[in-house]
Amino acid sequence: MHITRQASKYILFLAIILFFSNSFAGGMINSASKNDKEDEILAADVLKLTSDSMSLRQMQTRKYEISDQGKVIQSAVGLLQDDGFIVEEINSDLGVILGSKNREAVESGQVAGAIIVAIIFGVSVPVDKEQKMNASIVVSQAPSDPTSSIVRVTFSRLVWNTANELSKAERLEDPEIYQIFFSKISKSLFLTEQQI
Amino acid sequence: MKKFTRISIAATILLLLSLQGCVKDSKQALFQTGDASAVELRSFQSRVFDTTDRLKTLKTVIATLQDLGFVIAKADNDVGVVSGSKYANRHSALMTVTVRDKNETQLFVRASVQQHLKAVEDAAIYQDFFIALEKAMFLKAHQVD
Repeated sequence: MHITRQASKYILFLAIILFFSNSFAGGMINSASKNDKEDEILAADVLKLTSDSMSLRQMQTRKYEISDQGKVIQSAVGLLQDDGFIVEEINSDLGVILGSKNREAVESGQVAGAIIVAIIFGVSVPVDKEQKMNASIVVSQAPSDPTSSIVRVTFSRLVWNTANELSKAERLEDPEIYQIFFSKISKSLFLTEQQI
Repeated sequence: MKKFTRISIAATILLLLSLQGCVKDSKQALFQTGDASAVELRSFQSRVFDTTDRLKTLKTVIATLQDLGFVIAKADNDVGVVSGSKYANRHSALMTVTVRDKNETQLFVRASVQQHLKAVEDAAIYQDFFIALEKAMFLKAHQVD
């Protein structure tokens, strides 16, 4: 009986450790390294072009063989609406579109971590609760090619935690996000073309 | 008891001293400026370009801001204003750039940046922006006389 109790305690302890190391530590390390990356920008370098500025530009830009920029803007707005964005700002002469959406930002890893910290240390840690996601799209004529249009998009987000503090203000720079966006805009351009 | 009073007096003095950095009325921030004079500020923030193509200049400003990692929040070509924000956690910045005609051959570009709840008054930061803009414009940015 005694041994069983001790064993069950041991297993529980092991389970907590595993849970902790998997979701909490994993989540925390991920977000910590991400934050470090963002914080690499020194305050004074905020307007400095960096070595990765050009690769980011490539990732965020595509050229479409359409001369009518109005049509591209319409497609981009259609796509933003498809994805639940609200259009906050638009200027067709300058080809500028800003879309945003407010969504939940609760992540299982963080919550699990907060629960464990609460159990062990008896303190409550704020976790991410809400986020505002922005999509900034700029449509322009391709340089030295009036038959094509250039689309550049940048995604970013602000995250608030359960203490209503701004916990993150970051640019989203995962290549996959941009690949998905551009494959969608190709489809959206097709839809606009077809007047569906 | 006596000791306790003395400690509490010392604590109160310390607390009051620590409040010295605080402002009496935070509404004063409305017209508060930093250390730079208005003339100095304008000289950091402004440049003149030898072009009259305002729309193209605005588009180049937008492209430059994007290169610098800004989200374009507002743009108006009638007035010639572009605003954006760069999200970089605690070093996030907000920026407005205005473009207007200076004379028959030149345009006037002025940038203003806010970071860490303050107007940026560091000439080097504005210089970084104009270096990037110059490259994108293929034109030299002249200092305003």
